[in-house]
Amino acid sequence: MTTQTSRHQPSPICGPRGRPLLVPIVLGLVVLACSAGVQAGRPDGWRAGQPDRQRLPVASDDAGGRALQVGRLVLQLELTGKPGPVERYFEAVEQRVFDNLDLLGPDDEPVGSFRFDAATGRLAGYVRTEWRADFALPRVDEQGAVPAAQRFALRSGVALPAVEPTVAWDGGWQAWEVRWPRLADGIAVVGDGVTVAVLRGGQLKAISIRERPLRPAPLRPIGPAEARVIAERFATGSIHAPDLRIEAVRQAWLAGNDFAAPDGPDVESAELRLAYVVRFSHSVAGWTERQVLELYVDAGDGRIIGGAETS
Amino acid sequence: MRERGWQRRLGPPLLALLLLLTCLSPGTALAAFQASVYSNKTAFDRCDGTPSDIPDRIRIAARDGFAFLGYAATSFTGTGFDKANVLARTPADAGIYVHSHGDWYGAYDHAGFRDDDGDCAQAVVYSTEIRARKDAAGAVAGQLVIMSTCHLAEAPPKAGALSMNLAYDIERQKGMPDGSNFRGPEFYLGYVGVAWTNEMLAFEQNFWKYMRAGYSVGGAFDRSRRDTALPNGTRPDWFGQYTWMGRPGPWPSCPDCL
Repeated sequence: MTTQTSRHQPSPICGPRGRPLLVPIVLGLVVLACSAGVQAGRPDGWRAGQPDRQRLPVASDDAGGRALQVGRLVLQLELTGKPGPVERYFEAVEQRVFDNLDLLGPDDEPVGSFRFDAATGRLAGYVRTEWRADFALPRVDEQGAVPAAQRFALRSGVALPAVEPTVAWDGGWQAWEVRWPRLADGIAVVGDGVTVAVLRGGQLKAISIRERPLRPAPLRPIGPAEARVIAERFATGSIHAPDLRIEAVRQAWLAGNDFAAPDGPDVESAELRLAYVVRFSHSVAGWTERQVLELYVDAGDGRIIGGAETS
Repeated sequence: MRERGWQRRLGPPLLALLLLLTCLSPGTALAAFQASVYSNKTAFDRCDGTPSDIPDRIRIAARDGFAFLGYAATSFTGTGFDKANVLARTPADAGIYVHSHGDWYGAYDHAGFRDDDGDCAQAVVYSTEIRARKDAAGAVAGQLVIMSTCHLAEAPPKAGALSMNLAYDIERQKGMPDGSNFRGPEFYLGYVGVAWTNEMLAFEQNFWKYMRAGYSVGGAFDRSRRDTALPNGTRPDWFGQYTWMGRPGPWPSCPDCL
């Protein structure tokens, strides 16, 4: 069999019978241009090309359950507003699924926002997004913030860790921020715990509950002296500062990150590990303060599993 | 097979043109509003010896966030983030983002941030220099200013020191959701005290996520603050108008399309 070549032969840019493929190509380019525009709207935080959140369907039972939960919380926390629709998202950065539900005011504008852990149905957070003049009345001071926060946690059905909370004024929230850090086996779980923000007028501004899964502790953990040596070896090999010094070594449950190996995943590990946090500081020419950085040393195998630094 | 008239010949190109216009028109309509995104890669990577990729990730998140809101956003790092370029672009900036070292510098304690310029010498860009460029150029309508640095949401440490928010003519005031203390189309986001880069990244990723979800700048700030654990004490703060949607340009005339 021979192959005939004619002017009607399909070619890379021409279709059958010489019909130009220009139009489909133009259409394809338009689609590509549009999708590139959509891609450009996504941040680059974890893996290129992946969205930061993915909308998931919500079963009607779940949606009804959340609306009932919100109805109860509105009464218990003395909020106003009606529940809006439930939106369920897989959050790529946190690697968990949350149900979000805005509380709507008379004009259907959001006056607050609830967030629930979709897996457990538990409250993960609430923040008030409305403002009234009485929110700023000087009714609650630093001392009064703790009992007020405890009251809001109790009414929300949130169990507070059995530790002393810290209290600080938060300018961004215009509220007292009361934090109860989570402990596991008496060791701090970095980033987990309960935070309640109380407005000066005594109303709830926000509540946040974080409790992530912990990997079992290593059977034969390394000691703090060994962790110090490992971190010091890494730091002196890369940070060329003559006055580099260790400020503190403490044990903590924490999520590993790609601080020491930027080619790793761009999200924190979902499971927390027992580790040592070795804090260094060093001076930088022209800076008014010493830079502080931390290295995380796995308490099991002694690997550097992440870190952090000040800006 | 016979060609079927003008619909067949002109239909697909017209459809393509329509799709292209539909796709591009919102961005092109607002492309006149410049946003400059700067991130100091060298300081957090080569200069301090830690191989951090946070400057790249936080820069791309900011660049894409500004672009989503309708700014003509361009990002700079390394030699592109040098003092001369920052000051040259300042007059036309309706949006600005800086991830770097920030502090109160010099004998007068003026606010400033370090440029990158690809080396570790890193000149300070002072609030007074930015203010002078802004004053010379006149007001830019609608301003979204984000200082992803330490200290630049603090009140000046002494009288006469110029804060970074005032360099952009944004007062240290909060326009609240009930309409009280109305500020107009402006928003300044910064940090109080020492800020940790991993916590800034987590907070800002959440902030851009909620901006893309269609919340106001204040609504996005509040939700991000709720969702972001800041265990090392990074503390974001804001000034400006809570209800602004962050889109560039003058304040819209209709009350429901802020």
